[in-house]
Amino acid sequence: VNTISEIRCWQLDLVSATGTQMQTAAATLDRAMETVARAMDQMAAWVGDTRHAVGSSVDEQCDHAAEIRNVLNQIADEALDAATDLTHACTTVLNRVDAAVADGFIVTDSGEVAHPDGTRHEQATTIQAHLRDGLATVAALDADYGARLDALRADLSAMTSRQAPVTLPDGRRLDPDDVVATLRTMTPERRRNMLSAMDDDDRRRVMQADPHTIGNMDGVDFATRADANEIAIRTALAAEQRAGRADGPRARRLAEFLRQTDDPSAGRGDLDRTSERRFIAFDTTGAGRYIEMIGTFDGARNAAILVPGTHSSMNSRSSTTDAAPALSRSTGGPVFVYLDGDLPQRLGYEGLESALPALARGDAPSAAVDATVGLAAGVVGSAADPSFARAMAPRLVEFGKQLDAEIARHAPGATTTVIGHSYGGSVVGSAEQLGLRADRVVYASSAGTGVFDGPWRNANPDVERFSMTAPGDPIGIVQSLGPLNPHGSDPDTAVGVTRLDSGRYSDGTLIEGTHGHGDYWKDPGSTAFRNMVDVVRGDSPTPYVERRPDGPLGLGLAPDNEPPDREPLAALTEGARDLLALGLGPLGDLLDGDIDLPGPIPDVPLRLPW
Amino acid sequence: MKPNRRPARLTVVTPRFAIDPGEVSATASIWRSQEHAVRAIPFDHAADLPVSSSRVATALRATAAPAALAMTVIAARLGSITLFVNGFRDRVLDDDTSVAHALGREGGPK
Repeated sequence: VNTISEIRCWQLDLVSATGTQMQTAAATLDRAMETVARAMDQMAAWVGDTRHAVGSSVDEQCDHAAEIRNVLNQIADEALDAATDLTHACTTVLNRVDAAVADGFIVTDSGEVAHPDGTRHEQATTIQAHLRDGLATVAALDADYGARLDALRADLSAMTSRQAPVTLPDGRRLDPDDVVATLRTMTPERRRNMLSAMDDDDRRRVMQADPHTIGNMDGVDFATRADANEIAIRTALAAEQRAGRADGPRARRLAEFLRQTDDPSAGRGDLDRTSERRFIAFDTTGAGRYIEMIGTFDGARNAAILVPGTHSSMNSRSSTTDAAPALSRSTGGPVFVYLDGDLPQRLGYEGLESALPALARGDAPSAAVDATVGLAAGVVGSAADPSFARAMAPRLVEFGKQLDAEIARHAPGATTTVIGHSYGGSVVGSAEQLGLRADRVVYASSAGTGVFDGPWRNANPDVERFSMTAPGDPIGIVQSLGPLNPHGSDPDTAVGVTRLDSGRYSDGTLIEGTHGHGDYWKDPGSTAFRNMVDVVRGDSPTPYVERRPDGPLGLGLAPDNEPPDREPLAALTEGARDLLALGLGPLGDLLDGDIDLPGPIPDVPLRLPW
Repeated sequence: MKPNRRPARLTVVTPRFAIDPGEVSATASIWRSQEHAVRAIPFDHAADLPVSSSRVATALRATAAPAALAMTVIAARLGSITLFVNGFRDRVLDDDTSVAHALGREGGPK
C-alpha cells in the first residue's frame, strides 16, 4: 500500500496526457498506413509480377502496423482509465486527509489517525478506517492497471518486428492471423473450447490480430470480446475524425462509448463507482450495431437481455436503453442492451406528409393520391415492416446461447430474462419461435408475439412468459389487428402468458395513453418498472389489473363511466395525433383498411404488402 | 494494303508487364513522406514520465521504448519498399534506354 505522501506526488495528469498521446500515435500510424495502401491501390499503369510482390509486401506491413496500432490503442485505453480512476480515488483519500488534519486530527503517512482530545478517539478510528480503505483501493487500482500495462508492453515488445506466434492447445505454434482464420471455420462451441485452453497472453494476442472479427465472434468469451471492441471503437472514432466528421453524431456517440459511466454494480461505500463501458458486439458500418453489457456477473443471480424498439440505433439514445443501468442496479445482475441488428428508424406514417401541399391547395383528390403513394412507400423499412425482426431473431437466439455459456462459467445457476419492448418484443417473440432459450421472457408494450409462422419453441420447456401493456397505449391497436398484424398475435392474451400490471408512475399517476407506451422506463419507481425487476429477480410481480380499457384513449374509447369531455371530432383528431406521434398511424389505419383523411376528403383504401 | 501485315487488334488484352515511371515515382514519394510521418510519431510523454512509486507510471514509461522501436521498424520497412520500387523503376528505365541505344547503334535487326 502506498503512503499518503507518495500518492500526493503522483502526477496523474501526465498519465492521462500519455494515454492521449498513445491514442494520437495509433491514429497517426493508421492514417499513414492507410495512405500507403491507397497509393498502392491507385497505381493504374503498373502491371506485372513485381507489382504483385510489392503489393503483398505493402499489405503485410499494413497488417503488422494495424496490430501495433491495436496495442497502442489498448495502452491508451488503460492509461486513460487508470488516470480517471486513480485521480478520483487519490483525490478522495487526500481530501479526507486534509479535512481530518483541518479538524485537528493527526494523520500519519500510512493513514493512522489520532486526536489529542481523547473523546474523539472513536471518530479518529472511523476516519482511519476510511483512509485505510481508500489507500487499499488506490493500491488495488494501481496494481491492476499496472499489470495490464505491463502485459501490453510485453505484447508490444514481442511484435516489434512481426507478431509473435501463439501456442494452440495441441502444442502447435501459429501466427495469430492464422488462428483467427482457423476460428472462423469452427462452431462457437469449438471456438470456446479452444480459446479457453489457451493462456491469457496468447488469447489477447489473437484478439489484437483482428479485433473486429474477435469482438463479434460467438464462442469468444465476453471479456475478450469487450477488449476487442474497445479497440474497434477507438479505431472507428479515429476513422470518423480522419474523414472530417469529428463533430458528427457517430463520432460523438463513439466518444461517449469510450467514457466511463456510473457502475451499477458499485456499492455505496465503494471509492470507485464508475466503470468503463463494455461492448460484447460492435460494428460501426451502416446504422451501427452493438451489444452493451451493463453491470457484471460478480455475485449475480440473474442476467437480462433488453431489446429496444423502433428508432433505437448506435446514433441515438432511447429511454429503454437509458434505463439499463437502473435495471441492472435494481436486479443486481448484468443487463445486455441488445442492438446487434438494424431496427426500423422510421415509424411508417411519414409518407402522409406528401399529401400536405395538395391539402393546402384544397385539392382533395390529389391529396388522397399523394397520401396513398406516400404511405405505401413509407411502410417498407418502417416499424410496420417485419423484416427487421426476421433478420435480428436468429442472432438473438445465438446470443442467448453465448450468455448461457458465460453464466455457466461466471455465475452458475443465474437465471436469464429476455425483455422486448415495442418492436423489440416482436424481435424477442420471433427469436422464441426459432428456439431462443430463456428462463423468463417479458413482452413489454410489445408489437406482437413474433413474425414467423408457428408457435414459440423456447428451448426451455419451463420458460415463464409475461406481458405488459398500459391502458390506452396505441400499441394495443397493433396487438389487436389479429391476422393483419405483421408482428404476430397479442401477447397480452396469448396462452401461457401472465399479463402484468403496468400500474402507476412513482408520483401516483396512472401509466396510460401514448406516453404509457414507454415512459415507465424513465421511472424506476413505477409499477411497470418494478414488475420487470421482479420478473428478472424471480420475485412475484403484480398481475394485471384492469384500470381502464385497452383502447386508445384519444380515440374516444375512454371508460364508459367517464363522460367524454370533448367533442367527438376533437377527440378523434387528438387520438389520431397521438397515433401519429407514436408512429402507429398506418397500423391504426389497418383497423378499417383505409387512410382516414380529415373533413370531407374520402378515405383512401389501402393495399398493403401483407 | 500489304497482305502480310498483321491485322490490328480489336480487343484490349491486359498486358503482362507495363509501367508508368512517373506514376511509380509519385507513389514512392507518398510512401517516403509516410515513412517520415511514422518515424516522427512521438512517445515522449511516456518516456518522460517521472519516476514514482506508481506501478501504472512505471509500466507506462516502459512502453515508450518498444513503441518507438516498432515505429522505427515500420518506417524502415516502408523506406525499404520505397527504395526497392525506385530502384526497380530506374532499372526499367535504364534497360529501356540501353536497349534503345543498342538497337540504334546497330541499325536495328537485319
